[in-house]
Amino acid sequence: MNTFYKLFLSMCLSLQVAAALAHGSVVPEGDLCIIRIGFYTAHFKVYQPQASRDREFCEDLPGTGETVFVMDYIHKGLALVPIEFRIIRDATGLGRYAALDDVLKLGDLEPLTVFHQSPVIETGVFTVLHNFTETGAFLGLVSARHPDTGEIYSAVFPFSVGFRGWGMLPLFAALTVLAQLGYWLFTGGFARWQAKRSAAVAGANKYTQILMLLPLFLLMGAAQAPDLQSWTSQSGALKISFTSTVNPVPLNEIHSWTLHLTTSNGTPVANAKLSMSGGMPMHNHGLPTDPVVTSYLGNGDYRVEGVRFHMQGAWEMLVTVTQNNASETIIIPLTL
Amino acid sequence: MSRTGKQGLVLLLLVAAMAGGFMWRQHLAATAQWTASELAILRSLSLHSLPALPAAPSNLIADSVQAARMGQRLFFDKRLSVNGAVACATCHQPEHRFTDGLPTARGVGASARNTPSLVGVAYSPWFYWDGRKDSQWSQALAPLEDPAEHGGNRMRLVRVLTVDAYYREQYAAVFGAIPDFSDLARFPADAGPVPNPAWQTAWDNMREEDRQLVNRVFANLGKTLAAFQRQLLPGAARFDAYVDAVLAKEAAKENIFTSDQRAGLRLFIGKAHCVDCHNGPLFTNNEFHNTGILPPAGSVPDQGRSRALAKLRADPFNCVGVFSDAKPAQCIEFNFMRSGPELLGSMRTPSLRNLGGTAPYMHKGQISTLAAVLAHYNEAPLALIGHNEANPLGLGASELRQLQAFLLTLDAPLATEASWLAPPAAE
Repeated sequence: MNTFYKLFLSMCLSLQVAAALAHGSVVPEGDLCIIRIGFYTAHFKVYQPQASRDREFCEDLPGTGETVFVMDYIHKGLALVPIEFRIIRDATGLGRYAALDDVLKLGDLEPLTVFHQSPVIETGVFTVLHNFTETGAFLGLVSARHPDTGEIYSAVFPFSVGFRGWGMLPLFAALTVLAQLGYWLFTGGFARWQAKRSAAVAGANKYTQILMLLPLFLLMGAAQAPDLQSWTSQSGALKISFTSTVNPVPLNEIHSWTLHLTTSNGTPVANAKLSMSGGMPMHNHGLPTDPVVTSYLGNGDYRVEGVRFHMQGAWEMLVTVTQNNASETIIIPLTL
Repeated sequence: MSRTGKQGLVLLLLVAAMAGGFMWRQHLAATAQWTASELAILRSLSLHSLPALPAAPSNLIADSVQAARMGQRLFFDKRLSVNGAVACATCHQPEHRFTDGLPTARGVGASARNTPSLVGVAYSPWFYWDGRKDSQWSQALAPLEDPAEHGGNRMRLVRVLTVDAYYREQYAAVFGAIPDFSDLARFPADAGPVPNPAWQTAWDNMREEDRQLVNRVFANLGKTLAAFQRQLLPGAARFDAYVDAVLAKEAAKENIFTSDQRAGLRLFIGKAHCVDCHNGPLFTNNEFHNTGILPPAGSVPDQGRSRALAKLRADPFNCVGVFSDAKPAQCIEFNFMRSGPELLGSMRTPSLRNLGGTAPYMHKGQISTLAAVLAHYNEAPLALIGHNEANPLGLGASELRQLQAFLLTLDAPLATEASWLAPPAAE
């Protein structure tokens, strides 16, 4: 019986392997698809937002309807070059094996074209929208013209709309799940689950004890947290403190800071080159402004203008100090 | 009892205990006292924390009541449109908290984005969903020449001010005598830097000093509209009364919040992370965020703020331009504005005050109900372009209902005196 199930499961698995093949210039890389247009690369994503919301495709589309093609540039040069985008019906008969040479052999593309975006420079991200009214095999053609050499780089990606379908796959999937469940029950999985559960209840007591101690740890931590006014660089050579023109440091109000820079023994550091940035590590974003160190005020004091915070929570300000061609960064943690 | 029967009973008891525990936890969450840090957040959200209107250094007449009255008349004046049928108030309707109830605005034609409310907008450093304007007066100019909105041109617009006796007098009182535009050879009927080729050509053919004369009056027209809009301020809502009661420790008055509303507020400032962006007394940080809102049918994802920066820098009516009353050093927000890939697909956080009365929601009115908005943030789908800054919340159906109950406590009539909320009486 065991052998039978193993055989059946491996059969089901092998059916899915064929799906992970490259499509012309679009190749899967982990969770993403990458399009290669000559030496230019971009993340390539296709959506059908009206039908399947944020579900991402990079090759075959399940059905007709509004389709958004997105190229998120990896190579930033793409933001500077005119990009042309064309979708044609696949007349090569080669399906997923169609390449640029095969397209060139087709001659005039206009009669085959279902969508064409003439060359346009998109600085942020390249997006086009096409409403597919019929199913079938299509070829996407993307080209970018190099601004200096004038050379045109092209990419071809074959894809299908709708007709391929899932065939018997859902049925196989359902059978797989049923078979797995049957196997599990058959081999005493339910009994094992029951045994494990009672063991977990016994084990929980231990966790409760640790959890009860947790507030104590937190209290100890809070008591020990030093009320520091200055922060030290990684090397320990520099110390920095700050004052704000608005106190306490405000939310949603642009204001200035004065940074006070000293050596570790408290001697003011004059005329260093300072820059400040910042962000919220927990939210993975930066400040809403670009602060600038605008002047040296004397006595190790530097004025930073354009500081603004737009969220409460934990921020980290990064001050980079450059002296004699060497840079050091000091992190100022700040909770709003 | 059979073995199966016993197991069934145990299972049933387990389910009952879990359900009971869940309800008890909900009850505790709704009735628990506010901690000191929660109280600080509640105080920061209360209207009492709203500071005086920020200075508008680029608009010297921003706080002139006379200018505001003139702006009020202009706001309701349909002569400011190419077809005589559209005023600012066509989309910014006072009875709908200065919105229009439509997914996307309809003026002379169909606009691309949703009409935002104007209440409390004077506190924002940025205007429009993508912040492509940095002052209220500069913003007010754009719809007047937008082919989808008022569809006009600045030459025709400034002429309205010269032919109408009231406007001419008021203009003179606020800015000094209005220039004479009666010479049609120098000042054609229709001219302006707009998509209409005939009007554009007429504009290009004007002398540079004449164009600047027109631009100056046009900018001043915007400054009176801004002075009027500065009057539109939110009034205290049920939420504010609740916070007053909590801070004053008046337990009896705290009953103006139901347990659902209280639980919703707790979610809002805690687990649901709404307050991360919807902070301060206007429930907005007026900054730009990508929250993975899907494009509506027929449009590619909106690039938002990342496309606005270049427009803002090139705008002759920005804070550092010649029509601004500010010294360049006073244009702090403009001088230190941020660019970068984080802004891709981001839009300005809207205020949540009067949320209940301002559906549909989002920059293109994609989401028609509050429940659907909450479902969106609960799911936090992937952004089609850029990155969704929000994370999935994993809230249950009852928690979403509580959040909605709380959000509906932010509706209130404006604090603004009624005489500002309708067309001014005829002179």
